[in-house]
Amino acid sequence: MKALLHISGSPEWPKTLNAPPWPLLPIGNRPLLEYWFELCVDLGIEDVQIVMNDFASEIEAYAESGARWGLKIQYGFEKDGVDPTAHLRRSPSKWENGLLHIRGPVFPVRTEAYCADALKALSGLLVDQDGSRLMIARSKEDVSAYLDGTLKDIRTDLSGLAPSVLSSASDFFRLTQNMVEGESQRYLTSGYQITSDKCLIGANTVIPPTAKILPPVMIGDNCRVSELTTIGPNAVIGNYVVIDQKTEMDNCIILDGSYIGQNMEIRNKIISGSHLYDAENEIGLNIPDPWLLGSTTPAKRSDESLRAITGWLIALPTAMLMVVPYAVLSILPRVTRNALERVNLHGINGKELRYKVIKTPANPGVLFELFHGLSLDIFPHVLRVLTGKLWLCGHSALLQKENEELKNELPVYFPAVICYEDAQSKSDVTPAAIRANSFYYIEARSPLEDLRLFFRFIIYRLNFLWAE
Amino acid sequence: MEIKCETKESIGFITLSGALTAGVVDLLHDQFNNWHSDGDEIANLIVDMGGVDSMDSSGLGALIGIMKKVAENDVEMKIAVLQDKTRLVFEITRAYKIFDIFDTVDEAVGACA
Repeated sequence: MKALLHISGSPEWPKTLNAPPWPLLPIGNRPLLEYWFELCVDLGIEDVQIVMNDFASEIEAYAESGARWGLKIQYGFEKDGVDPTAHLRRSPSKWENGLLHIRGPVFPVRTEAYCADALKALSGLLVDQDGSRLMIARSKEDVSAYLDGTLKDIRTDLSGLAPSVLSSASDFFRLTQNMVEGESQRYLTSGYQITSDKCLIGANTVIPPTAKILPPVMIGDNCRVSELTTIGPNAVIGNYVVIDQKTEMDNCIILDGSYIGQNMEIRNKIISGSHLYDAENEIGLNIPDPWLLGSTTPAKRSDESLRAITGWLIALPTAMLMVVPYAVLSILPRVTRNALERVNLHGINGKELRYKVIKTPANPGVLFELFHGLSLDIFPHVLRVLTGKLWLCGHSALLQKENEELKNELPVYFPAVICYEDAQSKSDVTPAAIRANSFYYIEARSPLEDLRLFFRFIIYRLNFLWAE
Repeated sequence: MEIKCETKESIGFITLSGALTAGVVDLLHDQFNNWHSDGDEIANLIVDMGGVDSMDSSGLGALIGIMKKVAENDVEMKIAVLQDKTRLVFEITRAYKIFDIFDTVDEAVGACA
């Protein structure tokens, strides 16, 4: 039996929490992904394939080879717009001996009757809701029926497994609260036990004698609790959390790396850094005020700074090399009035940039081919890299309707002079390819990748010139 | 941030709209002090926060400052109409224990003795 875990797509509700990628959201004190791995172990599965899209680097960094769980994990990257089950159908013989397929935020809830041995005898299970699903098929017939889309609901509660789809932040809150109230006992690996006072306190967590801990409570590793605080009942606190003096909290979830200010009252809330979510009224709010809520982990800036410096260092000699040829070759088109056009670009930090560049003529002559082949058309944009208004390499900065839609979808956006599409032939540049490139860049971005992309672009342009 | 201060039948009204954050606290103080020092005798003060869509600790501090100042003259301050997000800030900072909060301005007026 094998498992295929689909981690593509981003449900909307985790975005309201500004939380880690949804597969790494802690249910109780462990990420959702870990419960999936444990289900694989209970089903006797060793080979696991994870198909990812967003958050690929975070997922891979967390799960690694899978050896921690006794699994062999292989990773794949899913292109957008491709039917997720197409991956399964591509090699049906691979799944003949049984398949566990999980797609979307589904939590494998264990009821009181849960028994790992009974699970091994489970013939099949399918839960499908809002596009999220968990399917277990042991027989070849069930697998092929699933691949054909003809497998119907084959729920059974004999095994004590009752998967639940997390379709809102409130579902996440409820599930985590159930964990702290006692259900976490059902998910313990054999040989472990929760202390009788229902207080789980992680390693290197400091709690002063004047702080009151009212069970049931789960506190993660490396937390700092200040004097005169009251924590619990039903508080789930992640790792690297700092709770300042005289704060009271109960029935709440505090995600990793959060800071809670002095004298606060946190009740029925989820907190992730400066983001606050009211589970009772389902309202999310960002409070960018370090006196109230904040983050204990600094934003990862070092890589971005290094990339910005690399871009600037490449842009400077490039601009110096281009200035004379640009001045010479742009004189002719400039004297004709229609040779300039105004461009609207997205700048860094959402600023809109407007300036004039040389227009591509309908019938480009030799001079323009030379101008284009030497990449002199990017000269005005390279100047904007030097003034910190654009990245050298990244996403397309053009202000167009399609780019606007894509920009809103991307978790981070780097408006740049050069993007992957600039070094591809026009026939390969489809909306799907642009989308895939944009997401790929977010995962692969690095100073080295920028350098690679820059030289690839220059060589592509020179080749183009040679061919012409 | 828009701030409007007026007096009606010995009740002072401060109507706020926009973001009540560190950047506008001085403006609120200045406008309140100008209006308050003009000398209208008031027995109650109602702060209508229906238009306030976000707020931070400085904004909350400014409200507490106003409450302390008017309390010196035995004036009671009431907060009326909190948007959901602003209410959350009052909730987590325990400010709801300090202020009298009403769902509508009419309820706040009705509570003025």
